[in-house]
Amino acid sequence: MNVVNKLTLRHLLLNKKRTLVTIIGVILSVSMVTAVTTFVASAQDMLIQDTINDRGNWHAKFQDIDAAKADVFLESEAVEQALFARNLGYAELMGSANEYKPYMFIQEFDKASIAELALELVDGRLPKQENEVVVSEHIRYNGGVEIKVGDKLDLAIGQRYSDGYPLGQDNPFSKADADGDGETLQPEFTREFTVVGIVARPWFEPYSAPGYTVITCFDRNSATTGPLDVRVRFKKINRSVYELGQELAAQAESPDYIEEDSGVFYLVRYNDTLLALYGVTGSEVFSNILTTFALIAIAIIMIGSISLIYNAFAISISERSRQLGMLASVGATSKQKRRSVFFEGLIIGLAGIPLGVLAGTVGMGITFSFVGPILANLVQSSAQLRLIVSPLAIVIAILFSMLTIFISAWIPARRAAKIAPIAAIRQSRDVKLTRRAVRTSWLTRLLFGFEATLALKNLKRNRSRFRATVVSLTVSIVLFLTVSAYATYVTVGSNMYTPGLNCDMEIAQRGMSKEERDFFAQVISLKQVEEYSYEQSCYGYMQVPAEMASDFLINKWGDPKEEYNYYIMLKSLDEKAFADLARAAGVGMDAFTSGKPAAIALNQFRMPWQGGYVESEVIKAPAGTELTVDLSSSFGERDQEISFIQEITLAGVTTEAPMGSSVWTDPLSLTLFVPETMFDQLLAGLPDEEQRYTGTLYINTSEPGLLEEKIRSMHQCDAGDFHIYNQAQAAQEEKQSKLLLTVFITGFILLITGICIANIINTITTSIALRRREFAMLKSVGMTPKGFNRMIRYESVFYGIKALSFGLPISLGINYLLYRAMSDGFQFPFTLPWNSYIVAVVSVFAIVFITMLYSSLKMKNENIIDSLKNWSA
Amino acid sequence: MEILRVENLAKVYGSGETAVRALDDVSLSVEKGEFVAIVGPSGSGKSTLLHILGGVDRPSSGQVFIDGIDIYKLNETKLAIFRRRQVGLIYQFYNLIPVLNVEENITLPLLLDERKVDKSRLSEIIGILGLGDRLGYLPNQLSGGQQQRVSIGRALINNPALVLADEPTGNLDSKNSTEIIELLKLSNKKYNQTLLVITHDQNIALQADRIITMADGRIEGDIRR
Ligand SMILES: Nc1ncnc2c1ncn2[C@@H]1O[C@H](COP(=O)(O)OP(=O)(O)OP(=O)(O)O)[C@@H](O)[C@H]1O
Ligand SMILES: [Mg+2]
Repeated sequence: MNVVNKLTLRHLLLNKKRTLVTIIGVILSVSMVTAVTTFVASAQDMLIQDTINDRGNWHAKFQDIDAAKADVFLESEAVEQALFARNLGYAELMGSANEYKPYMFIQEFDKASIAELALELVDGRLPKQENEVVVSEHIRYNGGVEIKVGDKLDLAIGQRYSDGYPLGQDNPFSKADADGDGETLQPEFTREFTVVGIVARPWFEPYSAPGYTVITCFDRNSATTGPLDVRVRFKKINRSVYELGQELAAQAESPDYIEEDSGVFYLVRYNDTLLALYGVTGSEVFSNILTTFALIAIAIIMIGSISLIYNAFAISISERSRQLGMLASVGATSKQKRRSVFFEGLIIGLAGIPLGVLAGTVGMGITFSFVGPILANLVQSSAQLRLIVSPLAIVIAILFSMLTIFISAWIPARRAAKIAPIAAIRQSRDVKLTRRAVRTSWLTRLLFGFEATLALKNLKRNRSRFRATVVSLTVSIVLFLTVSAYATYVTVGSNMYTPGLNCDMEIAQRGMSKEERDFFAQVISLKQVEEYSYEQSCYGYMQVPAEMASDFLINKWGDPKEEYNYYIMLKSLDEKAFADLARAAGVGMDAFTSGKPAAIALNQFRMPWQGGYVESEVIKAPAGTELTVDLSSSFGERDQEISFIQEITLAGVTTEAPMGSSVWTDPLSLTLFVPETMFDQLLAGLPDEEQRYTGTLYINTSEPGLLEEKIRSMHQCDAGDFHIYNQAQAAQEEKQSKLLLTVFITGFILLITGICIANIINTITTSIALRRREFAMLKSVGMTPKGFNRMIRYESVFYGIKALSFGLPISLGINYLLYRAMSDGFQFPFTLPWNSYIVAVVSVFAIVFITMLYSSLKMKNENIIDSLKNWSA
Repeated sequence: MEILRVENLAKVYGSGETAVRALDDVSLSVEKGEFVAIVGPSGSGKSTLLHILGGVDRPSSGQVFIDGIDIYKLNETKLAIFRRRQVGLIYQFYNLIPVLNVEENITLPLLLDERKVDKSRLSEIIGILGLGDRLGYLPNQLSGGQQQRVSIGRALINNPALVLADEPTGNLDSKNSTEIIELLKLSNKKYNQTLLVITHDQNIALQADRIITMADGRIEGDIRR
């Protein structure tokens, strides 16, 4: 080691505390970058797992390969594993309730395919022998045919033909038309199977496939006939997989190709989602979002860290300038001086980077162990968020950290190179100090006294150091307040507008039929349904004279009118729900048994209004009022102008919405509740096919995700009139994603603030340490401990004021923009996270003051003469 | 009248084998208005003694009475106020505050005391020190001798009872030296100040009322003329 580096090292050791703080800053910075890259790697891994669980672990698929060519895939160097499958054909499913799905489609999988193609076992086990099968649970839910584990299937298997052409799973069932022309099934052989398991409807069964999936097992070696479907997993996953695909297809003489001018192009199917996650294609939106997020986070971290590390180097250089000047006077070259700064960077990096990588990885591991379960629940998948220590992620983190240190050292190194011998000769450290720089107003002296003037001059003497501290403080303030504001707006927004319907799940069918009612009954019998209420509803209109309209409507809602056109929602509740409602409204049940139509109104509405929300009655009507409602709009075609007018007595009103209803409506909407029998009675006057009312089932459940899945697999036709609204699931997901976001952002802010605080401590400690002699001097001419404290206090206050004078307006601006962006859609008044503002102001002063006090405490009690003699401290 | 009395003063640096006795059982008494020169070889403990007299260093043992007050029995605040009002210390190495200009450095003890600056006193001192055209300068813009003169100004501005000067003319030419010593003597006579000057300059020592010679931390000679 040359003498310059030796001196550098000694200097670092001499200033142990500052070196340590700088290293801690580097550790924080590196650990954050590592955390980000590790997070990306882990998230990518989770998405890959998820995709594999969903769609199997394969990269390319070759169709209709001759069995004799199977060896091509087994022998290829590029292939990690080949998965074979063969289509046996169709067999009739006796008694299928779905007329478009009258078959079972039997496929043979080899062991590898069974293991790797994401078959989701619901019951039993997977097939191990050629006479064993698993069947799709869709057969039971959709086809209505009960096949249990242990059942024997004796199947006549063959191909489907239409006009002489064979049909596959991609060709929907073509029903015989009027002339009797349709597809036919021509059985070719029979086989007997034992059902050993039930699987969920597999991902590879097309949406409108005519056959339910049945899978058996086969040994590829004994299968010498028939076209095979081959899926492969490549060893190396990069862009070359597309060329490899073509090569393999050519070697296996795939019949699936098109001729182009440039030659033969084989049609190979790729698992695009999976390949995109591996980064082979750049089109996957999600991985782009991840990368963008990672880059933004790293950029913020780098800005924070550069300001810290640059500052540390700059301080070190200004302290060493006498030493470097002395070296220059005995002949050290510019290069040697510049190198000494980079050497310092190297030492700091060697100490900080490995520890940072370790801390970041361990930190993420701990975070994942907390966050993982929440996330797993959130995405409803079997994939796990596990810690992936990817070499690439670590290399990237190290590269970014090295870049950060290099950039930080760049300017100080150039400055060091320029240090002249004069720096050693001049006794004053502040060689460049000018009168203008330290000018202060006489007002300061008048208002705050001499110590304040001195404090202010001290701040002004080293502009760059002052600026660095102020910037660090400002960045911390802005980041902290922005995140607080974000959290506030998220909660304000959701607290006001999530109440919605007070149930977990809602299933609605427009235009109810007998089958739909049966289906609803089936749903109710599911064990996940803990509580439910069935409701029928239809719409109508009612003319309301001004004296019955609410005060709000007349006084605030546009121009007053003679008459208002109210929108009526007529709802039936089942017996128990209606009895509860009647009790709440204080109405006896006999009002509804007299045979005359009577209803209970939800006479309360709430809606966003002028920055807050308004809550009021909908209508001014006492019990017993006759309401004339036109229910025609629910029936027939709107333009047919049928009117269907009913007289309904208002039996009572309630202000509490029963399950499935909400007070979040508008002043022109009135909901009327009637018992089920009365609903039927009201509509009895219409012919059956005109009864286009909506049936809704409100459900409370603690397993909304599972229940929705169940219901979806049970429902036969996914017509546009059928809807499932999974409020609980949506609310839960929203809550959890908010929680996740909060965890990550809070962690991020804490660490960034850590870097900023390290920076502040570094700067202030040094500027105090450099003034050691000066403090001794002031004391020797009679500055009292009290005066000394006052000076330190003023310096802190000036730092704080300066930082806040930048930080607060910037934060306010950002908060307002954030508010504008987030209040979009729902209106709520502009609010600020006041508590956070107070916390920010107090902590800024506290951090600065504590740091200053701490670093000056030692000096205060130091012997004056010792300090004075220590000229080159 | 006795203004300064020192009893059995000792100052030991370090301990055990490597202990240095910078002051070894020094006792001494100085009358008000006396001009005392302290001489002796380098390293004999002159500066150490002066610092202890000025209340900026602490003795290992012994006592210092100024105007009958045992100054090392005072608390920090009282000692600071005492230094500010009673003592003018001129260091061997000039110790100015880099962010304050010449005028502010000179008036520093008054500023700390929140007292009004006596304009005529200031201009008198500035005139004698020859710093009239440098008042707004910062210390780094001054030559070594000028900085020394500023620290002398700072020591005298307050009319302290005790002026302690550690080689005040060490960096000055003979003309300047004579002027500075004249200034100190004038102040000494006019305000009846007690003046202790450390010097290696025979001429200056001979102008004093009393010459104390130090060697190895002890008083070797004490000649009153
Ligand atoms: N902080 C210290 N640690 C150890 N020894 C010290 C310390 N300060 C002074 N000394 C020693 O005390 C002795 C007296 O020092 P002092 O500064 O009083 O000498 P001096 O008489 O003023 O010399 P000079 O004429 O060279 O200024 C010297 O031997 C010196 O080495
Ligand atoms: Mg000395």
